[in-house]
Amino acid sequence: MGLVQEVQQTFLALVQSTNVRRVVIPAGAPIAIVSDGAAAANVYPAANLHVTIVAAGVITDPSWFGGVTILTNDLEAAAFADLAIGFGPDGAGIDRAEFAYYNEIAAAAASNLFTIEYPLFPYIRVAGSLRVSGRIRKSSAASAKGITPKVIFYTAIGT
Amino acid sequence: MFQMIARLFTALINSTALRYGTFPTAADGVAAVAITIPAAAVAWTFGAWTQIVAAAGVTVEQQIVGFTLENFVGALSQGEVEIGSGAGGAEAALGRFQSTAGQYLLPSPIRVPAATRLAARYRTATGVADTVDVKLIVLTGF
Repeated sequence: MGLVQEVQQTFLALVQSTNVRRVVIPAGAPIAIVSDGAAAANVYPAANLHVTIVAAGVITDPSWFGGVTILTNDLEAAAFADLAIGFGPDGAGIDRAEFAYYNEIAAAAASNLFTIEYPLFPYIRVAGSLRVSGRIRKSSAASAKGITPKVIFYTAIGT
Repeated sequence: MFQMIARLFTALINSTALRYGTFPTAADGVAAVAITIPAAAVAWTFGAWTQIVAAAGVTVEQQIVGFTLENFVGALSQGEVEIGSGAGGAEAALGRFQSTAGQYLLPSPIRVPAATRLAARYRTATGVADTVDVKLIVLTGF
């Protein structure tokens, strides 16, 4: 494809397209991602690193990774944390994006539940219908309470 | 012009190489602790610049695209954090943001060459010594 066509596609994708769609995964209830009891504070889980959000074969090929939404939790202690979103099987190079967030202590039950949205731009093109997964590390001690993120994708960019 | 358009297209639409990360960060198995930045005990007076990442830690060109910060300990008040670059004692501000808590993505990223030390400083309206915890969100691979 020549540059003229590519620029034209860019224009169509960003300004004039009626084809671009935003989706979030998983389509149903979000998957809980918690810290690993074996991991120290601020350290990612050492084994079975990522929690699967959707299996391979689910997202459209290609898709454009456009961010995350995070629902915070009523933690036992205030914490600063990172969420990493990975694509493909566990292993080196899986992470495409890392988001820092914090989670304060709730003044009353459920009062600390709020959604943080990270809308990324530029998007990251994801070639192949890869597994999407996540993992967290946080400054407080490991616990069964983490976050329930959803991952934002765009489709039909460039058409 | 040709290269600029080609790079823009690649960066915006076609690249699978873009990566979002955080500073400070760490390899698997190593703690990645947010940086605690002090405010002076005088209202609207910055505390000392505090290093977020050493120059050696910025191994490739980066774009600062956002940050997360939270004042876990201080009283509710107005505050400002300033992100800067440069050697210790010679920092220059890249941007000032009025906030003590939140996650922010910048509409215009701030480009940072490789081997650039990054730091931040903090001040509040209270006149009481205070701190804020900070991490930067950065983009590479463009």
